Amino acid sequence: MATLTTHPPAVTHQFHTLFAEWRGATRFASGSSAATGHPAYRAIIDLGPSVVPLILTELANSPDPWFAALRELTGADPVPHDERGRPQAAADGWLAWGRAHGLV
Amino acid sequence: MLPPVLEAAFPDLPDDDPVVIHPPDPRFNCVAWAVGVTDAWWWPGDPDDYWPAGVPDELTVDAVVAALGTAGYALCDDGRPEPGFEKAAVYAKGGVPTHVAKQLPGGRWSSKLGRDCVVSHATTGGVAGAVYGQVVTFLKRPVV
Repeated sequence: MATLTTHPPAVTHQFHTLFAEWRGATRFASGSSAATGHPAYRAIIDLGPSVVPLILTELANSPDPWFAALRELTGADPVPHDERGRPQAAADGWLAWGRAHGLV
Repeated sequence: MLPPVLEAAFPDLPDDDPVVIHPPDPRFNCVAWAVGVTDAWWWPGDPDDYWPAGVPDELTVDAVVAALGTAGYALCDDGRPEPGFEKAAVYAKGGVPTHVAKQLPGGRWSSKLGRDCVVSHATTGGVAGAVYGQVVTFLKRPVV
């Protein structure tokens, strides 16, 4: 779990740079796949599990489609199947998971 | 005044009498907006998006038409206003669906632009172009 709670300043800077690129490039995409398939989204995942708290912070601000990244980075899947497709409910599920793990 | 990011993405929008009618909101997308839902993201082919049961979960115009059909829409000839009906316009690029706009009472159109805002525009051409391509089909449903 230590890898989830530590995010060096350089990683934080990289995350926010990639996040800004991703948000701008995918803001008008109608499907989540177009957003989660963007290279900047993939690059955020490649930063590793230490970005999970940063993602959860962004998720608390806005229920953007971070769910695929969180699943890949944590191996967890706390969103009930019948809540899929409801971004706020999915965000709430992940934030509850983050609180249970001391990440938010 | 239209946000510059919208003008850049949709160059025909400034001349199509645009009005932002809902702020940026990632909780729903264009298909949900057309259906009348503001807490879900309707799109095929992604496990994090909602797609109606029984509709092909594939990124095709036919699948989008079928999904809209579950909400009472049926294919129609054009986007001209018809008393007693509301219409939807499906956009595509290279045959791949990209967007759905919904007609408003009086004949204007409205578009939920991805995770961004809902904008009303005078014609379907307002959001046509590089981002969403062109309208490929129209649907209508009775106004309840």
